[in-house]
Amino acid sequence: MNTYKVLLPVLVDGEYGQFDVFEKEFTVDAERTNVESGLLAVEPRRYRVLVDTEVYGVKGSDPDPTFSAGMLIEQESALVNGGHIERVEDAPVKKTTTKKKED
Amino acid sequence: MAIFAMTDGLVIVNGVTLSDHANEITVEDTRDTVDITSFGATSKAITKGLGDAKITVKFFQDFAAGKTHATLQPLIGSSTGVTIEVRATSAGRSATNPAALMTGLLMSYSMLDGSVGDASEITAEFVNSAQAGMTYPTA
Repeated sequence: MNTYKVLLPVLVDGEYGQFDVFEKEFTVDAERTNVESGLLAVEPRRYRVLVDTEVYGVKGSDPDPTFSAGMLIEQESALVNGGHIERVEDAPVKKTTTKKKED
Repeated sequence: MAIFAMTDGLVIVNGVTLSDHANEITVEDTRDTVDITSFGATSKAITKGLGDAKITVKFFQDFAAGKTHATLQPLIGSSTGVTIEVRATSAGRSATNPAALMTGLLMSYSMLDGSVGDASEITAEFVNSAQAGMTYPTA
């Protein structure tokens, strides 16, 4: 699943307009077509480098071995399957409650 | 930069810097030759047709994590182009150290190619897969 931004002034999937951001599981071909046509852009995601080879200018041994990039499905899977990187999952949203403590 | 010897070339494949495993780079940016000679001509007339681009890199094979095999092998099964960037030196892009940059597909991958006693070298040929073709950014 990737996150995409609509770049063109059209409605995507009947609900997302220009500059809207949405998550979707595209096929490899559909994603590539939509991105290459300029309709969508992949929103950057954070990755951690796992190896001591430089990936996107960052090494696994760097103090901060993470970088942000918007990669297509197959570009990302080549690096994930090659053992170069892993996704840095966003910290889960801390649940807050508005419920008052009972006395 | 004056005339120089290639001692510090830079190779980045799909974001992975593999310069320390490469020893030969060839950049080709070509245009088809289209014959537009018509009846009555006394000499051939030629114009340029579609562009094409190719970057060929000779790598030392390495099966360690994050090295040659781990970077190239996934690309042979992929139909999505990846960014290939090479530079004359590993210094940043500049007017005197331009990059050759394209989105390319790896069309063949020979995991092993060598004889007894040789260093294990392989050649990777990336062909252009995007309309932008080869670009030469300086920044």
